[in-house]
Amino acid sequence: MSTPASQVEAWREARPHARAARATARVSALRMQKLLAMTSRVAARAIWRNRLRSGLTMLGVIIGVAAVIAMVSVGQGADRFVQEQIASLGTNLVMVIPGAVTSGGARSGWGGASTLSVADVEAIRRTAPAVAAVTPTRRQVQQVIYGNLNWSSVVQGVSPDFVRVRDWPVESGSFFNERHEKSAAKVAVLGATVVGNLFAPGQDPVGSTIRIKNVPFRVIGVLAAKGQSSWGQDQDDVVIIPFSTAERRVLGTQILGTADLIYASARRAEDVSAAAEEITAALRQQHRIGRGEDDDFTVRTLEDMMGASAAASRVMGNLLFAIASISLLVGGIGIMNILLVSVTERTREIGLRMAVGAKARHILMQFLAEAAVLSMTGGIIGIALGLLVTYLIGTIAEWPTERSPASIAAAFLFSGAVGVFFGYYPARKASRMDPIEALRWE
Amino acid sequence: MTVPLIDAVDLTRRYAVGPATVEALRGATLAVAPGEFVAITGPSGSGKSTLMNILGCLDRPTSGSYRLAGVEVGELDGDARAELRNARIGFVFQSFNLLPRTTALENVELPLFYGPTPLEAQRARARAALARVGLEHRAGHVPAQLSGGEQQRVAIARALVNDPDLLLADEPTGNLDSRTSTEILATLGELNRGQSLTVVIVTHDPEVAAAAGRVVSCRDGRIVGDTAAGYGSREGA
Repeated sequence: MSTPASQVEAWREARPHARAARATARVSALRMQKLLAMTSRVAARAIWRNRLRSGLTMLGVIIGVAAVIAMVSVGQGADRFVQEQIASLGTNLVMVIPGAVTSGGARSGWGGASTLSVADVEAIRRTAPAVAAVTPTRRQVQQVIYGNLNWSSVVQGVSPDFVRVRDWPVESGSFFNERHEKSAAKVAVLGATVVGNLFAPGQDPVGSTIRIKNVPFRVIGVLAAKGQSSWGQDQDDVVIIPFSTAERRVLGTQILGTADLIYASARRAEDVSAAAEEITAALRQQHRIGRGEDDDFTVRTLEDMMGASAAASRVMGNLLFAIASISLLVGGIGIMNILLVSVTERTREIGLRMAVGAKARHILMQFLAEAAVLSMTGGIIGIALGLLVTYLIGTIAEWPTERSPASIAAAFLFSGAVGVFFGYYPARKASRMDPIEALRWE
Repeated sequence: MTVPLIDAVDLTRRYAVGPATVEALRGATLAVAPGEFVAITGPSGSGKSTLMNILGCLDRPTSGSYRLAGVEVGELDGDARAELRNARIGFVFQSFNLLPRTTALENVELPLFYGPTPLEAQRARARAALARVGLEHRAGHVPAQLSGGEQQRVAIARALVNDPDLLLADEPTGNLDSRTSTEILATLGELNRGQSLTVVIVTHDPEVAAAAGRVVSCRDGRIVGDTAAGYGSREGA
């Protein structure tokens, strides 16, 4: 007696139209193609017939995918914005701020006391190998006068290293040098905003004379425009003069050699945290701070500073991520629920399909296709909605946003995966039905 | 003597219903030659539905042997039986079992989904099958727009679309009035005589059974009567 398999083969052989189906992989590939075409058509039709139900079922996926798209766009926009800010301030910048002082139990933070000095700058220069350049800074808001125009600006006294520290090129003219610094020369380098407010368009300020607190300064250079900093301050509204000049001729001070701020730059971006540590160590020694005592200064890197502004968008991003995950989960459960209903409703159809030759995997495929079409349609609508929301956030709230093709593709595939994952249980239930029971079902 | 299309020997079928066991078939033996028109009758609970499910390869016997055109069905798994049903058997049901909101033509096409017929050829085959039951002019109608008799003829066309060897009809006239019943039985008779299709009807109605050339009676899971006993029968063998 022959085996069942060869018997099946035997009756296949005997059938003229079935003979063509035997053998070649091409034919079976065609058959697979046919089944896929059929199942997706049946699935699309089943969904279309229950439009309202399908639409409501898709809602979870739509909201989830839209939230993912909006989340990624806002998140990436914020990231890019922060990156640009860091780049505009000088990537390797480390700031030292006086303060966090404890005197007799009274603590103060930011700039609470003038605890920084030129000697500190020298100490950093001597003992911090990761630091490429360092400058003390004194700053004060002063009225700057040119001809019959005047403008209130931040006058900053810095050392010639400033250009390197801030990575801030001079657009025309030149920056001052050590000689100017040593002689407390009355020279100034202007920021773009100051130029725009004091000089006529097209006029080259280099060589002209401005006055600060009645002291005449010769303009020797103009800095390239940098734009707003992340906290909304116009970085170009600045007049840069030598530190010694500022101390002795303009800003005045009770004690010579104190600095409002110290700017330093690390040799490389990777060295920023090393530089910060070295600066801390140098200043603790310089200020004779004992083990266990608080610093009387604060060392900030740009990443620290940007952290605050990035945090807001990150909170928003996390919120959207939570919405997205919950929506996709709820959406998936909705799909599972509606599919279970559909499987029950169509029990007789399943039985009939089985009776006329559908194998378990055909039934499985049919309902999986229905789940996938359902969730992927939801995905497409969700992507459109997400892009709309992104556009609205960008134009109405004026947040920086950035569309990401990768996140759109991922959201689409993920929505399909949600459908297949949550559709599997109902589809398997359908595929395991007994055709006799299913045909008898009322 | 021709090789029987249906060759069932000593079939039994037991179900577990809770702790109890129901014996639906207790040793049924039946042979049907190609081209026969057989009615299986019996009161409800006689085992005729169970027999029909086994003959239709929807179910497997607990013991005994069932060979359909030489293939031992008891040894086939679900997928192989699905293929066998697709290629060899056409089903007609009491309640038609047409897909609602789906045209007659698409209903007839359904078994072709799961068979080897290329997609392009499906429409033509389905149309030809509808023509065989005289309903080509109703191809675009959905079941709700068709009369009961028309619906059952669409179902017959669906059973014929894959050129089966065996047409199994389970109470095919149970939901129809007597005039339509006569028409449907006539259609089945024509298919049997004109195209030498083997037809097996399961019915409890003696009038319907009378349309068949041979009547097999079931009672208590056994075959107790066969008007054509001896013709392919193995009783006493």
